[in-house]
Amino acid sequence: MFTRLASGGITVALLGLLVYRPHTLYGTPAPSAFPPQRVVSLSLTADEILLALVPPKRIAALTHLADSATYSNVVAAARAVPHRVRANAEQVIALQPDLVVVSASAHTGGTARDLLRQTGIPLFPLQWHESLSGIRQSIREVGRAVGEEPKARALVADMEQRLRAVQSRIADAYHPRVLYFAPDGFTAGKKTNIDEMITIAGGRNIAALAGIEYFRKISHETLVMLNPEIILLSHDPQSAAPQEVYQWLYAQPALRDVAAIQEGRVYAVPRPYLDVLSHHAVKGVEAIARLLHPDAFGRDRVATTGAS
Amino acid sequence: MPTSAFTLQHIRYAPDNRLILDDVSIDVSPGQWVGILGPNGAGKSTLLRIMAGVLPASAGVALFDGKAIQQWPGRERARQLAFLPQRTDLSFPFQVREVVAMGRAPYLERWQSEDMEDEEIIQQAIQLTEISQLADRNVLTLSGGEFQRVMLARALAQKPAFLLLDEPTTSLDMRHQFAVVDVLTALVQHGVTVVSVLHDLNLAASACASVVLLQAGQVHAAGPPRAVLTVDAIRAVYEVEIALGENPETGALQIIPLRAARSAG
Amino acid sequence: MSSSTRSLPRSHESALVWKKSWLLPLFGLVLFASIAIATALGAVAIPLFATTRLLAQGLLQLPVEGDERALATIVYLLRLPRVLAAALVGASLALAGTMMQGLFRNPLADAGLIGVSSGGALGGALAISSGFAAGASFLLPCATFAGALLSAFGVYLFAARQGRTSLTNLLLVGIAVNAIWGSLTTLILSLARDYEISRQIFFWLMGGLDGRGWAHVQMVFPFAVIGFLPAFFLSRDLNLLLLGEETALSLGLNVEYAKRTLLVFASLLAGAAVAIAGTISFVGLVIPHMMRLILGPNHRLLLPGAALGGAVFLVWCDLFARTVIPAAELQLGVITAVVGAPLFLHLLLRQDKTQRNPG
Repeated sequence: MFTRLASGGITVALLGLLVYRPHTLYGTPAPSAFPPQRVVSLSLTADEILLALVPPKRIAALTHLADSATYSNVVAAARAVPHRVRANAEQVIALQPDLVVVSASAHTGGTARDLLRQTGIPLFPLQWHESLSGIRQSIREVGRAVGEEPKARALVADMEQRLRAVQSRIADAYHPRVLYFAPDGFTAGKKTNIDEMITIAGGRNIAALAGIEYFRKISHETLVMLNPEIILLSHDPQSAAPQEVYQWLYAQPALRDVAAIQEGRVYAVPRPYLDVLSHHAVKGVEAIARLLHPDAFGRDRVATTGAS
Repeated sequence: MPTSAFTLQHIRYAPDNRLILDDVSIDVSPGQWVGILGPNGAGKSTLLRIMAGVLPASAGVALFDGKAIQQWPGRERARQLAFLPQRTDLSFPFQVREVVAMGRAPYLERWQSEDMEDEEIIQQAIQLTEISQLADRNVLTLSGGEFQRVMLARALAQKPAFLLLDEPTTSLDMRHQFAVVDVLTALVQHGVTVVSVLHDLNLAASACASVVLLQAGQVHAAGPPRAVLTVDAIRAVYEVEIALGENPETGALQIIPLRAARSAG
Repeated sequence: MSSSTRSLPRSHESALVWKKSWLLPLFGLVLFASIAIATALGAVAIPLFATTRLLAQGLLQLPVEGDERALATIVYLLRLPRVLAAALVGASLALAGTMMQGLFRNPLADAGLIGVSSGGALGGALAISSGFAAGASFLLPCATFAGALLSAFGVYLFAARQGRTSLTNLLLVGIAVNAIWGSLTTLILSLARDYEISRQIFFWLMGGLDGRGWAHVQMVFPFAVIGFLPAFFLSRDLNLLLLGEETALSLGLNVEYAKRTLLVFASLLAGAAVAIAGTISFVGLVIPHMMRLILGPNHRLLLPGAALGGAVFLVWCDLFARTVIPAAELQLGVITAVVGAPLFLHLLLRQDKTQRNPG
């Protein structure tokens, strides 16, 4: 029995030594030159911003989402970067990055981010900004982190110029009542990127006016009550044609009297334009503005905006 | 020679105002086999459990060797006094020998294993109860009678001066009943005191030096079997008419049940 | 196992134990090998030999140069702590299960099934959402321990009648307790304002080891070590309890004290496991059952055997969870359930049968 206790004690002591010793031995990466030369991105937003700021050869890997036409605005540009990662710490470390851009919010890859933090690899946490000004801030921050501040400034200036162009075209137009309504019943209220995009594009987001904040599920009843003049949906450019996405809305007898349905003003915008938090959000603003104000934009309506 | 004696004084047990035992007083002299008799529900098992110290009495005191049974430190008590309940539900596949060895627990410190001396005692208990052939069997595969003998062996392995047995022979076949009675008689001759609840009046009459007849939680009569097990007493307690005789070989009192007694009213 | 004061030769009972006790070092070796193999496998392929060399270099604090630094980081900072966490959680859950089965005298008792783990999860969720756990790293396991303990005593009070717990009672109380704690945890989750907090709580509801590192292992190590003590000190108490409370009492065991001690230690182990891995069911059911088949029901062997077996089991389950889909994670609890649920049903049917035909 005493031998048993002794062996138990020794095992515990050895394990304790193993568990409680400092484990920073390998985590500290070799000091690398600034600007970083092997950047790994763990968020699609970062993929899109990095591709605009950094030459592809300095990007060690992008996320798998970068290749998906469903979500990504950079499918073509991403081809210049050979590696893809998921939110898996092992894969990231194996790429020996000198900077990893991760999403600072916990929405994606939280555990991988926690693990990477333990290893001491330089992380750049990209804040989750649900606004166009936030997007501009993200771009400037990423620019600073990768040593490409002039490019970041130029990108922000380009964004602002394009947004001003949209606003000047629709300045005098009637601002219709718009509702974003996803097929799963969610709408975008105040404090969402979509709300800001609708507003800049010359619409009044009635969900926000009705006091809804963030993304919220609403009933058909609420939809009838809000009575939007225009309903916006997002569609997956890879699978569904825009019309298929909103045909079901026209088929709902309960929604017959909604102004947007009666006037046939239900439109689908490509999903990557709406869900994005990079500079590509400007494309979303432009697309929405064309839908809301076809006259102001004349004949240059884009094909993806669907028929009325 | 053990000198332990048991004295019960005015034992009362009434949980939730249900009266199970009422004012039971018994003296058990050392080196005797005392049988506790009585019909179903008379409180026999309860009395035994109070004596074993596993059930506290509502009132009264059970003195074991001059000290209240509840005051005994558990392990010390277990070296003096072994208790075999009527039923043991063991649903884990121990080997017979392991179960018998558990009887040595009161002698072993937390970190100790059984030594040779313990082992001899375990072996003796196994032989006395005639379970040598079963020693390596899984207890879950045993019949009721076999298991009862294993549990008796476990109690014997405690090397107690005092044995409290709740119906130790009920599920045994006739041959093993005799064997168990012989073992217990031999133990009594060596100075061990046995108190057992019994259903078999003839067994009590032949084996016990004295018996306690319980009725509805009270002592109806106590003393030598011939004095207690009278026709009138059996009629009053068991509501059965009997005839009395003698065992042709041993000369022990023999009780022959005749019929249910007609109710007096 | 020899005693110091009592004489030398091995007894028969000990002989029974000794006949099988060579299996324990064997299990130890299996655990060691499992840890080595599990550390070698993962999303990034590293040869077994290189892994063991890097592990040795890491243990000896030897420097690693060049490209191997990345591999050493993966092996030593990502995989090894996770594998050790799996071993720790598996051993804790199996040991807690064994103790609870002895305590409830029912081979179907398991920390997950009877709601002890979900009590621990609730404690953890409360500690995180209130900010209590942020104070110091050992506070989270303290909270899960408190939750598990509260739950264990509650289940015991409700389900046990005179020390015996009918299967139906135990499972029904388990369902009720799991439902209550689960809904309270969900309530806390839905009230949490901070996304980071709700993410952590959500993690408890799922159960898994992704993202576990040295910090987590360090956090629960002392709890697990204290929890393992019963394997040395309480084996006879458990054996005696299996004979029934009255018999155990008559054999000199302080039954109330033993039961409370067992509940506290089992809760400590379950709480430690929950603090690392959230609620993972069936480990405490599968392993004691298998170990009883191999080692017998005597707790002197069964307790250490269950700890080793549980560690091996969860190391392999977790390896499966993180490698079966490349670079993605399966839920560990799903895998243990896939293995455990059929066995649970089998035991349930068997116990049902034996209860119908007594004797």
